[in-house]
Amino acid sequence: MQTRRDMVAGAACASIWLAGNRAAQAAPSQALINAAKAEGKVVWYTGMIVKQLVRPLVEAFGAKYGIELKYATSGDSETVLKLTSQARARRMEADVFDSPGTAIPPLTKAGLIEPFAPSGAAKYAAKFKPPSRIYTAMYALYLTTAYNTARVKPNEAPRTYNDLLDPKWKGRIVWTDTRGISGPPGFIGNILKTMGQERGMAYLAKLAQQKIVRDPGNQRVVLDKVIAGQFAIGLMTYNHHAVISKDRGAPVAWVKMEPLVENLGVIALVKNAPRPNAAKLFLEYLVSDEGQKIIREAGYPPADPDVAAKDPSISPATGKFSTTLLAPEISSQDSEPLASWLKIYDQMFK
Amino acid sequence: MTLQVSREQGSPADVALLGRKRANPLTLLAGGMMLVIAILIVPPVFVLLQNSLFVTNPDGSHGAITFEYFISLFQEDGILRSGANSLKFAVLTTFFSLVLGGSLAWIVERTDAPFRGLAFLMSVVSLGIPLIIYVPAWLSFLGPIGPVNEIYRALSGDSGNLFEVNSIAGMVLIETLGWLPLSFLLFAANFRAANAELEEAARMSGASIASMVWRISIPLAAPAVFAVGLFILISALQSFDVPKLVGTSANIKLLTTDIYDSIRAAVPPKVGLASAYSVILSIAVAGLMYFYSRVSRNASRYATVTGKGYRPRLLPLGRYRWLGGAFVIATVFVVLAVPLLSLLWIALTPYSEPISVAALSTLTLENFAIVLGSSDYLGLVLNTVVSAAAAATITMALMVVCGWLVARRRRFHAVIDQMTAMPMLIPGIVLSVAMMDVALRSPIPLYSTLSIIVIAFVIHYMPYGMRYTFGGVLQIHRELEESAGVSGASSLAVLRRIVVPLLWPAVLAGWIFIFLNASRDLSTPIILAGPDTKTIAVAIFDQAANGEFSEVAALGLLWSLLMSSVAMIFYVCMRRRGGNLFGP
Repeated sequence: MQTRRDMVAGAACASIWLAGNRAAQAAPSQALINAAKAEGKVVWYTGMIVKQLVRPLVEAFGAKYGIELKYATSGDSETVLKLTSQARARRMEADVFDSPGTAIPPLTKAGLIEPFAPSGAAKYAAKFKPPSRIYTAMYALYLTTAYNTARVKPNEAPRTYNDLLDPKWKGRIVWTDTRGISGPPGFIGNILKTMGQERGMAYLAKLAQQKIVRDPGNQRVVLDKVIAGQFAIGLMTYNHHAVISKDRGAPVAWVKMEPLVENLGVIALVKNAPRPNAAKLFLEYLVSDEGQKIIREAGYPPADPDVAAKDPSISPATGKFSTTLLAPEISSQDSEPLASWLKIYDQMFK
Repeated sequence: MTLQVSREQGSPADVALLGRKRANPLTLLAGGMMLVIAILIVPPVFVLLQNSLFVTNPDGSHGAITFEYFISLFQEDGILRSGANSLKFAVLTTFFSLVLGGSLAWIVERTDAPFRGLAFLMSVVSLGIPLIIYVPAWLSFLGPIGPVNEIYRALSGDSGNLFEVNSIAGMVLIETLGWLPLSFLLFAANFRAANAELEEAARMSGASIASMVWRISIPLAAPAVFAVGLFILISALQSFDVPKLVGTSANIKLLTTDIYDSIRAAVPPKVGLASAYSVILSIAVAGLMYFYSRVSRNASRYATVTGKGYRPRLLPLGRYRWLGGAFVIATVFVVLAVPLLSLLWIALTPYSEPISVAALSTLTLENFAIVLGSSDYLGLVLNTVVSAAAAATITMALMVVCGWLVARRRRFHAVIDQMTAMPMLIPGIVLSVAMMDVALRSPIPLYSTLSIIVIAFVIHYMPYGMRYTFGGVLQIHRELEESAGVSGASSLAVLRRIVVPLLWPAVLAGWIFIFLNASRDLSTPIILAGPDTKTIAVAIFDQAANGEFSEVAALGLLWSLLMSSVAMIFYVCMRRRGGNLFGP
């Protein structure tokens, strides 16, 4: 993973390159469908937003195959806790789980992921389906800076990372206290990868002077605080959230502060899943054009190259921005590079 | 242990009631109780100790025995600071809860101040509001762009804040408001039953109200103050939601937020470390508990419900009547009206907007329409109500017997007392993790069922149920039971025909307290809920974390309305039947 090019400036190029090789999406085999129907249901541990994504998927999948998709809401730490405990007791309940990446390394280490590459994802970009086949990306999300348009004029808003150092922002910047690649450690990683160790650390030292406020809520909650005007600027917020809120009339805009941080929303099959065929069929459905359209309707940028985001500006290919991919493989809090980034966060940004 | 205790002779009262040679159904009952409580308590405590003392491998299995978790706990920097913060937070919260709750209860129960009924209304309604929305409501009201600071800036011309809510002071304020209703209810029960003759005598002998309060009321209430105070102190030491939501931005850490973070912010969760943390915290709290049990034992000297009439006369406040009324109104306003109005504002806005005249035009009922139009919540509501009601019923059924056994110092009372108090020592989130393990190892399939949630609730709320029944029994004078005994009633008949009917109001009060708290409890279902057993608290949490807060506020308000209505119906029914729902 470390050898992968850090800057994926060319997601646009990738999709053009893929267009040449694109094969028609393979439909799941009838044998799989029959076996899945015999199993009757799938149990899915999910951290996705129930109202936006989970319920539409439950309804659509149920309608198409007559298989009940049962979900339990679960964050990454609960998913790891539950799966390892179930494995220890040899009573597996879950068939599939999704994650913004953080649950992948510990569950890989625990040997609790069954490698599986859904055939429908064959046409996806390489970064969405690792050779290890331990996960498949459903969508990619982009983290960047957002500001309150009622309190900050567009021409005064920060454009670059250096603009964030302006003394006028001191105490007016907020970010989430999330201890993963989608929080401040991811921001730190992006800076170090982009600027290099020495310049990056010098930059971070200056940024720490800005007294950035940590919020116990997640990226969405941080954005809401910016919208409410409690802070002028929010770092590490999702650009699609800003778009969704802006459409409802909220005074918010996201900044193309390049490179943006790219996170994947991934799904994986549980080892010794009680209903492996129904689980595989669900994964196939998720990566199919049909499943990806549900993701698109929820406002997320789909992983499927044939399903464009609802608002083209939020995707790097159509929105024309560069990104740094922070992949699930490097999202382990206990190992490098995230461990160092966390240390920097804890020491410099107290 | 069992042998030793059973050899112990009964108290003199036992002997008088039972006669010496009869087979003793009381021993059977007490032994049975002890067994049931042990079956509930021992497995999670065992799992907790195991988790803290054995290496957890990456795949979840347990390895060699280790002290690593305990050692790393003390090597971690900041544990002393967290401890000091915890102590400061808990002590201040307890102090203010006692002063405010005690004053309010005294005014309501002992004086003729107007609007006294409102205080009960407040307690009932506030118990129905989930903390996950109560705390953000306060944060937005007191926050840097909330009305308090905005008005201050407008009036003073200063650009800073009048009040910094993300501080220990902010935490104490919000936590105090959370405990105020319970403190009020516990004090109210005490004041209602306390013998007012002494106060009346003091007044007749020419004492002023102030000197009567200082020299009669406060000394009489002292045991209650100690008992309620320690109860709140221990609970505040275990509280994590307020410290987490309020303190993070200011980087203020408490012992409980450290525990919470090592389970919910760390991936994989550091169960070993959190368990070791809990063991240490438990030992500290156990010291307090020991003190607490000593104090509540001495409280038996203050039995006040006797065979005689005991309704105290209300104290006329005269020209200070309005002052008492104003205090009641002010409390209700602060505890309920401010956060509810603040939530209502959030629920009516299409996106997060500070309170302002300009924003009035954007208000919409859309969020309420979305919640009411969604049929998905029905299943969750059902799960929540069923599990909370079952937990409240089972807990109170067990605690009626246990409370009586302990208060009357019957068979095994010391063991039962210790065992029922034990769950107070374990933070909710750690108890849930242990219960998950228990469910997975249980020979009966319990994992991901409503049963395991109910069992966890019973364990978690046992000490609360005990407070209600134990306190209730203490206030029933022994003479009633003794006369029944003298007239030939067996010990069990005394329990069934004297104690339970007299205890009924306390039982109902405890029931509704547990029901309301269990239905808004988050730390238990968030770990234990499976695909078929999701509860409304989890749904609210899920949305609060992921969605815009406006819809959460609407959902939370509607849920609070439903829960408060349930409580109100109970309250009204009880009043009509002459009972005192909220006075054990």
